[in-house]
Amino acid sequence: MAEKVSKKDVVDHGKRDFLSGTTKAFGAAGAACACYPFIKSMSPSAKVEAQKYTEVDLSEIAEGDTKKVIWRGKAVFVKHRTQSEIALAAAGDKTVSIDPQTDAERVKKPEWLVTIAHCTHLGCVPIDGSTENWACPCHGSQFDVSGRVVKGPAPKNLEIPPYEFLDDNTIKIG
Amino acid sequence: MKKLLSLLTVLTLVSTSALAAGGSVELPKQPWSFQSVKADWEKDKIYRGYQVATQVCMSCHGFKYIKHRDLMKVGFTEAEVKKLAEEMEMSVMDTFKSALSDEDAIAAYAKALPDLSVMNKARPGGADYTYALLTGYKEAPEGFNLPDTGSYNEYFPGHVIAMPAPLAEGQVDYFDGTNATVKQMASDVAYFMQWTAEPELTTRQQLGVYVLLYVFILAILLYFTKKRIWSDIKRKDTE
Amino acid sequence: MAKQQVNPNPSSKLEWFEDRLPLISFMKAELVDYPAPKNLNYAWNFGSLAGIALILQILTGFFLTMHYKADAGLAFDSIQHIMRDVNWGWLIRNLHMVGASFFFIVVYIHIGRGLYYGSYKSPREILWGMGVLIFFLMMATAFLGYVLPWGQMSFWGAQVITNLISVIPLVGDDIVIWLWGGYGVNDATLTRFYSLHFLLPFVILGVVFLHLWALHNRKVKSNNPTGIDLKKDTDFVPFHPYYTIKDTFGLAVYMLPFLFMVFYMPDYLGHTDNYIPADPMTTPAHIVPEWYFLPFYAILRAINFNILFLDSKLLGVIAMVSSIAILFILPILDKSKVRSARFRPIYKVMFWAFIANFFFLGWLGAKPAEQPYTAMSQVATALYFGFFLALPWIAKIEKTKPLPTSI
Repeated sequence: MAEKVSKKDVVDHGKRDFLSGTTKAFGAAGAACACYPFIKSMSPSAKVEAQKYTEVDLSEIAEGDTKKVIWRGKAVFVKHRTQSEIALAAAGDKTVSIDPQTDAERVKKPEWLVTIAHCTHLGCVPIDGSTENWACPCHGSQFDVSGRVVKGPAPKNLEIPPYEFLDDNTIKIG
Repeated sequence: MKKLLSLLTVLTLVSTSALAAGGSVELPKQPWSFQSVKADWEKDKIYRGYQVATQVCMSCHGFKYIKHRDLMKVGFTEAEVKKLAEEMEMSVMDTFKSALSDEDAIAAYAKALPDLSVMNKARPGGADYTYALLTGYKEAPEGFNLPDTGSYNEYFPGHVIAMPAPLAEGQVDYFDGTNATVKQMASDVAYFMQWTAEPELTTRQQLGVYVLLYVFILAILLYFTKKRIWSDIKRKDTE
Repeated sequence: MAKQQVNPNPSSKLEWFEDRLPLISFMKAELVDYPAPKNLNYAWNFGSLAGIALILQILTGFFLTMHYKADAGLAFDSIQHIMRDVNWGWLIRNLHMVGASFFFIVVYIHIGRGLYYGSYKSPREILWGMGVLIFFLMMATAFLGYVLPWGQMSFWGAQVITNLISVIPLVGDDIVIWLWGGYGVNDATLTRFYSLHFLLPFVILGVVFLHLWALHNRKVKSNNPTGIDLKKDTDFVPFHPYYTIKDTFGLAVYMLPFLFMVFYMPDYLGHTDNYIPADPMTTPAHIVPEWYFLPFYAILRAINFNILFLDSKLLGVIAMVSSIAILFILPILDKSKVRSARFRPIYKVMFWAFIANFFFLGWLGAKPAEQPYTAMSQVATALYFGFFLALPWIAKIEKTKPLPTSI
């Protein structure tokens, strides 16, 4: 019946046909471009991008206290360290072994530790620890007063976000 | 069938334009620069419109979808935007709120006053309507029954508008020294409101040219490819 | 018949797979080798275009769902969020909004083509019926979608249309309250309309599959402009490449006005009132449905009189629903053996009169419900139904032109 349209009826137009090749390439390029807006629509919106920076007023944080702030949807610890904590952090320079880093590399001013408050293992927010400064409630990682990992499973120290001191009492994270 | 298609096209256009033209009073058309497909938003005009909007409109109306930071997309620098926001004791991320709270508005006018962010899209005629309305306050004609609470406006449907004439000569000190006539202010603020209503307008219009050009070329290529592929069928038919 | 079994020693991985799921051969049979009449004109492009329009709606709609909030307090704002903050959100929303209108344009032409060439006649009655069902579902989906921006037209359109259901005797009022999830259109209504607006396109997709199945059935196949049954193999060409290229070309031509509207007149076919947030306290001065509902809206409003114990409200709804449902029984009404209007002089005139009258109804639907428009609507409604009801009689008296024996 009709479905058996014989082969010889169908002209082989060949892959080297310049016109159909051009048309295909041109159409495919357009189709690829058309995908872009759809994919891009799932990226952070202007509303999210607008929250690139978080300013923190340091005068509100008493010595020894830690404030949790949100920067780009992530929690950030801003810790006002006491003199004894600064000394403790400096002492730790020699003992930390999982991800060795000196305290001086991790702070801009010794009194202020600014660190992302997500465990480098799987992203939970550590809580106050009994032996070390912070302990992760999810899998028990421990972090010292410089945010360095002292006990795994976390593979790395708490991350330091980009930040700068706008003046003595204000930092801008981001 | 060709007849059918062309007839349908024509009838569709006729019936939809009949549908769109529902307005009562003919609005005078203004030469808006954003009507050109190549246009960018004019920073200076937006700035002047911003001055009118913030100093006049915002004593009663809000622009709740607009923040000072949005001005950076039309050429304001971060420093300029920060300064403008500080002058209004706002942060660059605060939305433009009306100085009149909804509660006070309800107490005074028995209703919350409309937000102006998308107003130009919410009225037939858009920017032309806004301009016409702001310049359309007049003495009521002889014999027109004007209630005490209303003002006469040539372009408002029914001519009785609750909003008193908002603009007066020289009301705004323009940053660039432009003479603040009512017409100038109406034009600037209508332009500003077009931007607040559809900030994507200029991007959309500029991009559209390239997209349509691309599709046009693609259609031509496809037409010839189609002709080529069908040629053997047509040939066989005429044999 | 011997029981068929898979080849235990397949010569290739493809054969192994095809023995278990003949997907490739199915696709090849339906999309590549499908024998299509070689004399189809451009009116036949609108079927595949409708399919593409549906896919585009589903695609753009899906991306919008990631940003839209179906909450009476947030919906309007979330649309503005899409237009302002979401990357390319304005483009995706415009494509969806204008796409809905263009979907209807395409489907109207597709239905018109079916009417003109008698594509509803045997053996295509079920194919046609599935199409009418798709049209019903499309209208429901479009109506639900228009409610989602939660502007004034959304709200009051929902109010007016859902109230139509209250005409059902005895239980109508209770059904409406059930549908609203309240005693008026409210937040619960919006949320469920959103759920349904998400679901229905996939139901449509399912019915489209049945529609295509009925078409590709080798005992049915496509109609053609002559309307005669094609018997020779040489009357057909394989779908690919002949109709794939023709449909792709048609798609590009369709994209020109469509994208022009998307980029330059996205709000032209909508209503300015829908940029005013929904206000249950104030009805807009002039409630008009979307343009694609206007002819049926005119029929609804034309019935402003009671007949015996039936009141005008109920009769209006009956008239409106039957104006579409009558398409289901069109294959029964039109008894003429000749399909294509090319060979039916009287039907051809009637067809064009019907189309003109349909546009006239659309125009009337946008007019206020007052004289002389109401009287005009009544005449146009009578003509609309008259077309269908005259068909059995026309079939008897019409002297058709001689049919060709082949294309």
